Amino acid sequence: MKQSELKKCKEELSDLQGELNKLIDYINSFFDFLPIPVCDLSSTFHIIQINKSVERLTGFDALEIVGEHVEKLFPEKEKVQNLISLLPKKKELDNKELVLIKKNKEKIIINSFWAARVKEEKVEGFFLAFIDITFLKKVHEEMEKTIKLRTQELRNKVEELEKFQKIAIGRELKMIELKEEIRKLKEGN
Amino acid sequence: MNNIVTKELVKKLLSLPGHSKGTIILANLEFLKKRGGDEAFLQLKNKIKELEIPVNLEEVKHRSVHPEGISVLIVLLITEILNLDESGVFEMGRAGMKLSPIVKILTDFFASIDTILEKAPRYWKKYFDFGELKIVEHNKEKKYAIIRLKGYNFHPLACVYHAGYFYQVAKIATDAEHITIKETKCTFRGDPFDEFYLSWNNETK
Repeated sequence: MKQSELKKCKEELSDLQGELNKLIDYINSFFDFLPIPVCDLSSTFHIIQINKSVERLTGFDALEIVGEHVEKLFPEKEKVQNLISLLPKKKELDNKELVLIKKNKEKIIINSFWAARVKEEKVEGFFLAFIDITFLKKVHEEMEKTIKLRTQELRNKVEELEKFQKIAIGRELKMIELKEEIRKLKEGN
Repeated sequence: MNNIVTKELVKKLLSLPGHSKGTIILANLEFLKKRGGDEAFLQLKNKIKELEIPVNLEEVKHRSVHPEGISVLIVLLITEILNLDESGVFEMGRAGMKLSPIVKILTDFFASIDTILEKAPRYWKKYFDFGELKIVEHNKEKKYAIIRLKGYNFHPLACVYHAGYFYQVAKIATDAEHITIKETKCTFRGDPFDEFYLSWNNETK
């Protein structure tokens, strides 16, 4: 290879490395910016990488959780096993509700989204993203309770109204009856 | 551990040939920040300045190339700053794997341990322009491997770091509950190369 060609190749390589560095920085910044907790999982469901949102939500540091089996985050082992047994075939699972256990042992409810990373028809790993729905669930449950309570109250009111109506109508009928009697008596006189 | 890095050691390590990619340094810096915060990072910068180690930490990128001596000196300085013992250095080696997403993605660490071991010599060449990593024995049934590292003679603590790194690779790529790593041969004990015995047990989760 000529010196000029070699120089050109080296320059190109250097440019490509620079571009690759930029891409890596971009991916890292974007991954850390994401407000949704995201994990990379290996084909054996070990946690490979987590973003800052996972650290914030779970309280686990990357040093503590990376390398652990994903089951560590979930107390409902059977439910998780069931989900991950479906993944290699289904490739994607959406809106799967799970209980997640934080580092401080607090349990929260999450909605999880799973997707397989496939390369040449072979599953290489998985992505897992989740949203904390504990507050929504609580609000939902409270709303359901309130609705139940209000419905019961309404039912009681309706019952009361029906009773009142019965009494009122009965009274009305009695009045008509009495009026009729008075009319007849008047006519008799 | 204190006072590991002296001016003489800096001179010695910088005189050894060999380069590695910046991604390794970046993972170690991340470990330092996670364990010691910004204050520890500042301490490292000051020590680098004080010892006249030719590196600007702000300019280290995943694909930038640096003398391996610098990479090892950073590991040793972190050991000093965080006052780590050998098990702490082992943890730093594990963290090197945990905190380097690019290494994990670009080197197929999502794959099985058998694939990783098969490709290990190539992975070494991706990140180091010297030395040789060889899998001299790999028993898939009995689940163990012997990893040989030839031509790497920087510091005994680098061996502990490597052991931690290999341990973490096995931890991620296998479903084994118990993983064992042992340095069976070491250039600093008079052997011609470093050798590690890595095993992962048959009991799976």
